[in-house]
Amino acid sequence: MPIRQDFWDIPQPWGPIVIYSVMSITTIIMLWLWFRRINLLRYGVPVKWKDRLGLRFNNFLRDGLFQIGILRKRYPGFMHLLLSLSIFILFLGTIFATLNSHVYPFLKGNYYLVYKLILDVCSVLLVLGVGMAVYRRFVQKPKYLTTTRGAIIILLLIALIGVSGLLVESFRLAIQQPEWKSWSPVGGTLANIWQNLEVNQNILNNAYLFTYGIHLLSIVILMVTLPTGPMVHLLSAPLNIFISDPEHTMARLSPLQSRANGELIFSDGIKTLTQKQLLSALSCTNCGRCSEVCPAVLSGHLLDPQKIMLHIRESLDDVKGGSFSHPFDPQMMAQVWGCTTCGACENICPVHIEHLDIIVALRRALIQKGRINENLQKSLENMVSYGSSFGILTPIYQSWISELPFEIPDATKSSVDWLWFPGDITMRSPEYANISRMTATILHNAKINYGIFTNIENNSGNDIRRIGEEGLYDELVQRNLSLLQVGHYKGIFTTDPHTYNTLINEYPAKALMGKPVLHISQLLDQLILSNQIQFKNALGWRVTYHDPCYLGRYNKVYHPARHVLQATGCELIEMPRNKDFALCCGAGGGRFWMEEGALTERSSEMRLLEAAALQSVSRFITTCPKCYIYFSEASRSINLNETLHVADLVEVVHAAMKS
Amino acid sequence: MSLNVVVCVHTTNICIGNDPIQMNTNPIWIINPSDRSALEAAMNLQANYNANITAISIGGKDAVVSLNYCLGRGVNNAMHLEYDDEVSLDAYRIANILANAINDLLPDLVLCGDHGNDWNSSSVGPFLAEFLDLPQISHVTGFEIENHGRFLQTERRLERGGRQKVACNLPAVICMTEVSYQNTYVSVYRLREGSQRPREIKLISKQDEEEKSGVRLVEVSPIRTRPRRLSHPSTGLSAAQRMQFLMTGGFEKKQNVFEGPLEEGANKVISLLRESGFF
Amino acid sequence: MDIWVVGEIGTNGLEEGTLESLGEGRVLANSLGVELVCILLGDSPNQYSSIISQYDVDKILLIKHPLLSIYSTDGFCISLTEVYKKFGPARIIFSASSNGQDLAARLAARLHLELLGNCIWIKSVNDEIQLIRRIFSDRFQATYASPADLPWIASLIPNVAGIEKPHHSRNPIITEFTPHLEPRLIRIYAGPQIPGNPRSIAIEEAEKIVAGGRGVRDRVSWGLLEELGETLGAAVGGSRRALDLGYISSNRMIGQTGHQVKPQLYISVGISGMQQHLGGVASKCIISINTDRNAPIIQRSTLGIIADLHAFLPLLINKLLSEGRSGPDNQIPL
Repeated sequence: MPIRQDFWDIPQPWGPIVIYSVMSITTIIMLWLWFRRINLLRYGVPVKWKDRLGLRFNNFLRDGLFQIGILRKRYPGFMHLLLSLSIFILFLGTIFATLNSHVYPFLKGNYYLVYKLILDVCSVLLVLGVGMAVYRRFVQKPKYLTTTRGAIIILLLIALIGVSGLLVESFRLAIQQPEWKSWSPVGGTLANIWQNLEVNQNILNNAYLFTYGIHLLSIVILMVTLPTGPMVHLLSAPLNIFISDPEHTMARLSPLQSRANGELIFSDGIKTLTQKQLLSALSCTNCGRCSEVCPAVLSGHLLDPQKIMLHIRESLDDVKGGSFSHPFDPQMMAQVWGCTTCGACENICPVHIEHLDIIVALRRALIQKGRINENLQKSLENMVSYGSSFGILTPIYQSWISELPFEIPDATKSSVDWLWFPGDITMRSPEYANISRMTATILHNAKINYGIFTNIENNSGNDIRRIGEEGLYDELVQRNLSLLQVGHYKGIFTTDPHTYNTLINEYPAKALMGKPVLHISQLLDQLILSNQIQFKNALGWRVTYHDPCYLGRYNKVYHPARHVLQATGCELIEMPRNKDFALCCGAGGGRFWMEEGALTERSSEMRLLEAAALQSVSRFITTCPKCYIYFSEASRSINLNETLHVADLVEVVHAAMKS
Repeated sequence: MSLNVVVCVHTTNICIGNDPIQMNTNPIWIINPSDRSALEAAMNLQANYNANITAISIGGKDAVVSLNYCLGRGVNNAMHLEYDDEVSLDAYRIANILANAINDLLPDLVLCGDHGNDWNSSSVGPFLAEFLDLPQISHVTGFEIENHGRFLQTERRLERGGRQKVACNLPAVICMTEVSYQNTYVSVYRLREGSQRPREIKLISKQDEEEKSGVRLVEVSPIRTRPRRLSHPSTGLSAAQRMQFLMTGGFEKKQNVFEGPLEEGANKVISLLRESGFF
Repeated sequence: MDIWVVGEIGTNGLEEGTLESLGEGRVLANSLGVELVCILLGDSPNQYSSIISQYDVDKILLIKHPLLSIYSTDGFCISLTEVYKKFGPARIIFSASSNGQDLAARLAARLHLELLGNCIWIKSVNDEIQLIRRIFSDRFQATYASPADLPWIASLIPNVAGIEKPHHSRNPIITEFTPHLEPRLIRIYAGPQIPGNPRSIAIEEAEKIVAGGRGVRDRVSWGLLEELGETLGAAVGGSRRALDLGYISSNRMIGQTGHQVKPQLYISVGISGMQQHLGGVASKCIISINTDRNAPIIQRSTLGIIADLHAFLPLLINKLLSEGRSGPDNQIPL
């Protein structure tokens, strides 16, 4: 009858006592170390997490237990699954064995056989997993994956545990020779090998004890190493996933925290970050997925989201009590200006780290201190004075409005169906004036009743928020609010995805009063579907489409522009990195107003080269003024403006309506 | 050392309409750029030498704006010399009012901007120095305090990028020139905090007897070019073109495009340079 | 009441602003029927009498004192006050340079005279004298009128009025005057005035700029621009393209996101003139060299040369070197 024997061949009575003591002590140490590390969170600002427990648990199951986020990348996802699942099952196996010994002996008969099979297979999977990891780190060598000494030690330990477990089993089976030894396939096979080699019983016995000891030792070492370094993610990552606001979206930034006395908290050090942000730093496994997709990293800027999390974790581990505020390294702080807030990092992070939140928090502190780039200062000051970053005394390119052969009604005076909320770039930028004019013309020709706030060109504030000037954002919202509440219109549309994002996600409800807000691509799609816009001929161009960050990744609006392109008769070839994975043009996050700094290659240029590699695509379509300006500039600087024409979606519609 | 520093600031109204004399209903006030540089220099002294900074401004609502800014930036005290802002003051009166207020403060250093962007005057600083009977150094780009706060080493900006080092003993009046790369941004939150901070308010009464000034303002109009004298009569232009050149101040003629033999082109360039006095 | 023009001795001798003021003063003196006096302060101002004589003055007053060797507000103000008390009243015109503005204001306060600073034009109209000043960032101008018998102090912005060709129509009476100055009266310690080297000054302060862009083939060809800059005493800058290509460093990049410049002369070489660049340039005299007739910068230029810069520049430089004086400005021909 197959039955499990407790401590087979272990010297009695001191053997089990030693083993239990060692394991108990190790467990206590491990728990204590874990507690100590997680307790570092007490230095941060507390957050609320006790609401919507159901949703939180759901997230925890999906990304913490089932690892859906990690599986987005096939090879490392599968490898991680193998490792984590195997360890978990093997751990369960030990628990079952302990229960079996001291509570109720249920591991007998078929249960025992299945138990052996599973454990045996898992041990093999464990070793396989380590093999995959070693291959990834030392053969594939992905660029942004950091291999530290700690990582190598952990892998070694895990491999040792797996191999020693199999060997221990094989030695026991070789001595005991039960009938059911084939229920441990690998262990049994090894046992046969020892038998065939006619290994002495004594040697087998000693080997068994020795390997048992190794097995125990490696487990002990692994257990005390788990709470250190990035391995703490075993505990911190699921916790982080649980604590994340289940309705969090990067499209809506969190407001500034304040203390009990009303004083605002600006994050320039460990003690001014929230506990959630500190927990994120502890959850980072340095997998490098964020670095791979970050436009700043790719263009050679010093900013690296992975390094920021690493810096925070290191600072956290160095924190001491008392009143020392533990400010961050000023050089690291200064790098946050390289962020375009494209959100690619947050989008791809498997453990729900909210990089944008942290970067904007750091920026808020820098703005409050006031030491910022001169160009940015000027733009912000212009906005404080006039609402528009272009200032009042620069030549007024509103002439594109005065050059129109028709008048655009003023939405504060006449009643219109649609309010066009253009934002300052659409109104003032000379490079975009042509597109603005076309937008006005096609809507006029389609007999759409729309209006604007004449002579007012306030920035909507989206990028101001991302720069960290919350105060200015409040002011802009107030100014726009008074206009929005006074105008007579049924819905709002905008040509700028940044404006779209903040109107939809961040403006107070009383500003929009329930009226729909559309991006121009959505409006055009609607108008085409309802036949208000009709095309004479199919254009037949081969085009590719760039998903603007604030339309695609932020608000998941991918299809309207694609519908429009197809409706105009263009043949759409998708970019290799499209939709959520589109590479940012580099203008977001306020970088449009900043000095560029030293870059090795602009992300806008890289993106165009990616498009140019597509077979005979003649046009690169985008629907964002910042993208348009940046890509036009890039195509001139890398001499692509002859072969790959950068065009706005509106240009395509305009051409289709004309022909 | 404890240094008592006074900074004089004022705002300029960015006139977006067509008549700068008429008060706009929604004036856009910005801190006069060279006054801002003076303020930044003062804040440097506060940071490095623990100086006590007092900001002073004359006017009504515009002075409130400038002092909110200064307080938001972090000055220690602010003094508002409240004056009926319907009547615009001339430089003499401004300097007089400032001198009276500043005299009581016994400052070691008086800082102000060297140039007002609105009325384009560079006179308040020197007038103030004269009324306070202090040495003045103008067009200063930066300075350092030495010798336990009794000696000032400045650098002045001259024409065509020239520089000069000038030093003096304190107390003195320093008129700073616009130096934008040293500015610190004052966030809207700080401006709000500044507007909450208290300031000393002194009411300035209108002078009983206004000094009749001999020179009067005739009109304010959009700019017109003035004829420019030439040192070299042009060989390349006809008489009519030359007359036009003179009447339009020399450079208004646009779109003179030349495509042809390089030799001739070079001659055209040289004659233009000669006429304009660049060569 | 005479017209006095207070001259200025700068880093390269007599400042051109003085000659401009003399030109302005001469016209004014003629219409008012008074005399034009040129006042010069220094430790040895005599050396400039001959130049000044060519500019049609009636009298030259040389205020001479060792303590006036370098400009100081106190020294010059005290001297001029003495002179005014002895020979005044008068209408005094300064050149609105850094020192001129400094002195004019201090003197006006000391003498209780009206000050019209930073004028662009001073002329006689009917029975009055009109002084015109630019205000509100050069978007408006204010016209003032002074009665014919009122003394005042005015300063004239340099590079606006222009200088006429010198001629000798008068033999001015030259007088010397020694003011009562003591070291303790001069409350500042002035170092030498160091002229700006166009190679190293901040590009915003340059009065003449040569700028290059993508049209410049390579680093060797960029040397042509540097040579042109040397010849004209101009600072060399560039567009964003020039920065990308490594021809300039970021402190010489001209444009909306770079440095905003307001030179008197702007020579653009191989720059197409996109708004990001032109938005940072405000100059009355723009000369551009480009092969593309439709480049936006040609529209903005006073003179546009459609030519290949690599062929044109060497020719231009040679002509400049051979045809006339080259080197620093303000060298007045004797």
